Amino acid sequence: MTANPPTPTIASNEAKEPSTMDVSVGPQHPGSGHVRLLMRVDGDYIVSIDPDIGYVHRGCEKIAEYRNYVSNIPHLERPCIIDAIHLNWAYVLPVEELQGVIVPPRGQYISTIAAEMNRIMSHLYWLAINAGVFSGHTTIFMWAFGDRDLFIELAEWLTGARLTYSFLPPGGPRRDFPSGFEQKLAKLLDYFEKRLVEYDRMFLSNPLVVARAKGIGVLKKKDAIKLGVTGPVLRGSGVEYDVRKVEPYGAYADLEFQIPTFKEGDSYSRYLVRFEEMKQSISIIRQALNKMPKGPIARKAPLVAPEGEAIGRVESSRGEITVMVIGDNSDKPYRVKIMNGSFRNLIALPYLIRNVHVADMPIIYGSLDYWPVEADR
Amino acid sequence: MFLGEMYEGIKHIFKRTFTMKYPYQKLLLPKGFRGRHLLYMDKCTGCGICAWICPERCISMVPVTNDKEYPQNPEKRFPQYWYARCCFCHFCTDYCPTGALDYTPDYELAEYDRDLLLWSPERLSRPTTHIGEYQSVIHDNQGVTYEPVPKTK
Repeated sequence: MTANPPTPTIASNEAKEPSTMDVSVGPQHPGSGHVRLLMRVDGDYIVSIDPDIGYVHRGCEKIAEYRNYVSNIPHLERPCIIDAIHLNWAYVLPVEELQGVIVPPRGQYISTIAAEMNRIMSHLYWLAINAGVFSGHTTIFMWAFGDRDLFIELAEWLTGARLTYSFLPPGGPRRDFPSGFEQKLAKLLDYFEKRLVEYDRMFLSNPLVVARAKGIGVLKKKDAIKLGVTGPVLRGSGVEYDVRKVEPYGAYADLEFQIPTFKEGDSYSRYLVRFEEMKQSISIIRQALNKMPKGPIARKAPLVAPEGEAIGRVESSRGEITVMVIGDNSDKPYRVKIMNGSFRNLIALPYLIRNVHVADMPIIYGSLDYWPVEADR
Repeated sequence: MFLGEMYEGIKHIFKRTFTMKYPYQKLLLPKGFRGRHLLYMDKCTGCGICAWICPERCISMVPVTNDKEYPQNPEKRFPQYWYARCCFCHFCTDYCPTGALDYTPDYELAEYDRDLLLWSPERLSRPTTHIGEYQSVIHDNQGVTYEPVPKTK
């Protein structure tokens, strides 16, 4: 059969110009992830882009209604597996609020240290893939993945698994620090601080990277607020907002850290936000290691949650994760609703990529740090 | 123009390589590593809490027919694991009331036949066969390498 392929749909009201062509940066593409980006291209300019999401949707929130609160943890941490602790914590905060369980201080500090380690790991993954490989810089891909493996080995020592931690059931963390963990973590942080200087020389000050990313994909401050983006995208446009300061959870109320904010709003300032966040995470972990209280790490949580509704908010490496849990006096939740940073930031993609060169598309797409599995759930 | 970056790149030619020649060199895994499960058949009472908590419903309690007697388990009901579904969260190990399940560093569980991924209780009680001898070491100016773990007596 020689039928024509079906015409792709573009969610814009512009009439299709005869000189444009629809190109699908599809799901089978090394530079797109599990999403299809339908570009309308006129020569070397992208007129508009339409992200076609849903390739990895599997009904996460519906499946969560058939598992009890503890069994839901490996299920619900999988959408953003490289940032698993934050998604786990965002689900467990409302469950603990419903059940009335308060985690002891040592457990809060352990969760905070694990979460900041996970933030560094996720930003290294972003640096390697989204900022490195998508733009062709394969050296930083090798370096960032090599250093990320050292953090993964430490997390494996603490939790037992390299990436799928399932570390925070309701009530507190599952394990305490093994003996010798704090010294090894401190040594790794000293090594990583020196590596960040080398990354700066190899990547951030690289004239190629600066030429490709400075002034590209500018998101102004009022547009960022109007579109509702969160996370490093919002802070790269000049809005100083971080859930860890607005509504502190864990041990963040006792720790001092800054929120890196840059006002230019282009891709390069989003790169800078994530670099500075890695440096702030190192300082947060060092403060938490110095201030660790002693005592129990977890309290026993009941199996059943009473009727009611609770919301938890967490600042993950891609943005704010909000989870709402409705309990109905049984051991399974009635409804779990998850809203995460990648899905919120997706609206910026068709807004920013208008009349740019084709070569600017991976830069802007990479600077938004879109994780398709998290957005689709 | 690119002198800073080229200097950085050339400096790394003289550093050591961060490579582990798997499968000839394997990583030494920490003591609570969540690999496959180890069942102590003389502690399991057949209560089925592991099967209840499992998120993927991969554990089922089956009767075992052999000549041994298990005084704490008169019906001889033991868990069997279906590793095609297991997500290695080890909630079963943590929730077992008698401590009959344990961690092992076995992660090389691939089989050519899918039916071989259903592990019977007797197969689960065999001890681990994994030997790992290498660990990552951070050198101060030479980078990171994988080196054999020093044997301590």
